[in-house]
Amino acid sequence: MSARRGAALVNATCVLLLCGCARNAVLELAIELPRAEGDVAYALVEVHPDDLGEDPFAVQWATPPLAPAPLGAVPVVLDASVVADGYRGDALLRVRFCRAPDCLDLSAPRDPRAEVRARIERPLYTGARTSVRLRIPSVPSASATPPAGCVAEPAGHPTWSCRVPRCSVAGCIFGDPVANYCDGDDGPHFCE
Amino acid sequence: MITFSFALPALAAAQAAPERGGADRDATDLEAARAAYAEGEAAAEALQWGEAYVAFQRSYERSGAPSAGFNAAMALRAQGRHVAAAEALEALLARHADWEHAGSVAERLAEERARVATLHLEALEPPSAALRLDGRVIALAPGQELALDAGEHVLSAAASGHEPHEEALSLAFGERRSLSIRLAPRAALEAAPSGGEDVAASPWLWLVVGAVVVAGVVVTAVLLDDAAQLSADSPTVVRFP
Repeated sequence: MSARRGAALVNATCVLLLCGCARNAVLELAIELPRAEGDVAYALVEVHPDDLGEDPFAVQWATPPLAPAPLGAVPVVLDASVVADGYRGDALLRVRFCRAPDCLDLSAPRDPRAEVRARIERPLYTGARTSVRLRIPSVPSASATPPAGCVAEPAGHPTWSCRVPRCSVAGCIFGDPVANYCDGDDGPHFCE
Repeated sequence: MITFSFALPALAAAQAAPERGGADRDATDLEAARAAYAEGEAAAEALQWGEAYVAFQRSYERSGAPSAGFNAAMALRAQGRHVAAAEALEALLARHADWEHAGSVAERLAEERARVATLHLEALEPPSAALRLDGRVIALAPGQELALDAGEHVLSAAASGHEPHEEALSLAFGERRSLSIRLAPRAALEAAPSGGEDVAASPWLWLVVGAVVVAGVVVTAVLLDDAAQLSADSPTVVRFP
């Protein structure tokens, strides 16, 4: 064994020891936001655990939204990390498209102009860093077609309701590979 | 400068003979379109181009009158937003190809296209690196191009386990700039000393050193358990219970 390989072994051992202690879970979210359309100039993103009852999107969420994301001439990607200590249920995501940064413009039609709701199924795994990429190709409207995995919902403003299945959660490498095998969008992985 | 000369007649024409989708427009829509158009004119005269754009765009959506759409595009141009102006003019030309002033739209479109700068990404290492332009995340893969307005920009790249990269870009009108971004991995190990010193090269020495380090890490991990938790990659963090 060379000195360099010996040092590498020590280093790898240290990393394994450190990783082995992690009890929390991290979900890295990448939300591809569409370009600005009409007077829709901002996207306001909220993320919440699924602990709000049977119809979680029908109630106001108490947690503060992320900073308003200005929409521009080109699509942008909004990154956010969800860090969970013990929660391992679904993650809920709501993207409101608005004229005002705080989504409180009351001129007709009032904010929000449109909305995307997403349920991300069981994306959090102890000691694992997972990732989900949600693409919103355009601001929801009566004429726009919802992307795959989403359906248009009857609501006061154009709304798409989306589901991200657990096998589309990328980055999991733990678990029983025989009983719990996923071949999601980014290749095989084992999460549960 | 903005050309408004044929705006009002075209809006009037839209009322008399509404174009595509106009059959569903009622008098309320056209009144709102006129009001928005007047707002746009007032804002343009006051050189408030942001407000002018919003008003003209609202008027265009309500009336479908190409003149309102044209003025919205010109308000974008006046703000130096040539990418957006070119896209608006392209859409206008596609939708109103038979408009009597389509030739003028085409001329302006050619002007705007010539002003747009282009960033061509030749290579990106690692491919998962997140790119930001002027602080905003952009989706740009190797081989792809990004149209952007001329001027000063800051392009940054970051990836877990790599040194971040940031560079200032000064782009001229119509300039096409090619970039290759390769982030350097953060050094995990110091380079091995050269010179053939036998003691330093001995695997036993390194194993002993390694054992000491492992013991230290274990103690540290026990004492500082929180430090062993996974950390967030993004500066924007949402905490679940």
